[in-house]
Amino acid sequence: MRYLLELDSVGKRFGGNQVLHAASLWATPSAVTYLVGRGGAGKSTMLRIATGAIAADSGYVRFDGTTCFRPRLHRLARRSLFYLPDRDLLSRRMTVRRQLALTRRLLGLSSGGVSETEAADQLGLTELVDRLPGALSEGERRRAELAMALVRNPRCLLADEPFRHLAPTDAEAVAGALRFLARQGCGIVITGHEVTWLFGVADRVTWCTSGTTQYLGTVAEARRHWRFCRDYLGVRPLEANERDLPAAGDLRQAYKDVDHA
Amino acid sequence: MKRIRFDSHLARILLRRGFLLWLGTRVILWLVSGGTFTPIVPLVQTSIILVAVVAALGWIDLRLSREHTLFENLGVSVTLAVALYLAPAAAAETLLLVAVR
Repeated sequence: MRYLLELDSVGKRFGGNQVLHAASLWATPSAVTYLVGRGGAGKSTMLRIATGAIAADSGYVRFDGTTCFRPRLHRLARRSLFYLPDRDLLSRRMTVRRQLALTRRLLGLSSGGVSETEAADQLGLTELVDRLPGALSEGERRRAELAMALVRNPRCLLADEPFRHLAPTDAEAVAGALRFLARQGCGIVITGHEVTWLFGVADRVTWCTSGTTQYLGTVAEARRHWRFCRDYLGVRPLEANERDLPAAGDLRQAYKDVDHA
Repeated sequence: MKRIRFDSHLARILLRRGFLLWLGTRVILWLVSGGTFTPIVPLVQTSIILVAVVAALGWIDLRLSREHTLFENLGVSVTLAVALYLAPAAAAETLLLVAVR
């Protein structure tokens, strides 16, 4: 399998606290990988290591087949990686439209990404694009950030907690944008702890627990993983002969399944 | 591979901010010194310190506004952004030094 982004056996210590040890993560084209785990498990730290915001103590980061000994976000961005941090990405001094246009201009005209107008339409921002980000709600800002990603049309997207504090309608718009990017061939890694979006968006699941990671496979395979179900989901695992999970994207069905499990 | 090209529009934004920072720093210095620091008669040492201060303020501005992640996502390094912040200060201080001498 070809990996767009690969974190292999990454370790990180903050003071006396070993946050990560031998943690690994992969992003593959046209797939959404959900890095799921409790708060403080090291999910965001992994993304920050991947983008060079902090340096790993051990292990390595590889992007598109090249080992990055000192990864830097601006260099990775030139190679078509886009990073949505858990905090605000947008500049508070420029309107959303201006930032979308800036993204488009920096890319040139042959980027293959959607236009600013199309991106705004797709995320329900048509009425909001002439506002400053400070005048938007958190959910609207998150959608605007995803609109930037749509315009950018990256080959790899790292999104840190894209569904946090979002209303269901905002979250559905974000999920739709992520699925759209995945269909365009983008390899996506998202972090979070919301089970609904795990079932609704993810193609593959990696569980971040106790400072390390465990690749669980597809969502259906994750749902049959007894330890993940017992320790994280708090539900009994599905048996092999039990009905599979709903197709990715059917979020309302996923809600019901989790509630009934 | 999709390449990001540097955009003159973004450069203008950062250069304008750098110019305003330099102007503000000079005015504040003049006010703080009670008018004894003459803004149009620079010294080499003062000019160097001023440019360094503008660079530091530019870096702080990028961090506080959290724009560094945005610019890096657009392929512009923090070093380059800070260089654009300090460019107007360096140019203006050089011009002042040349003009006075």
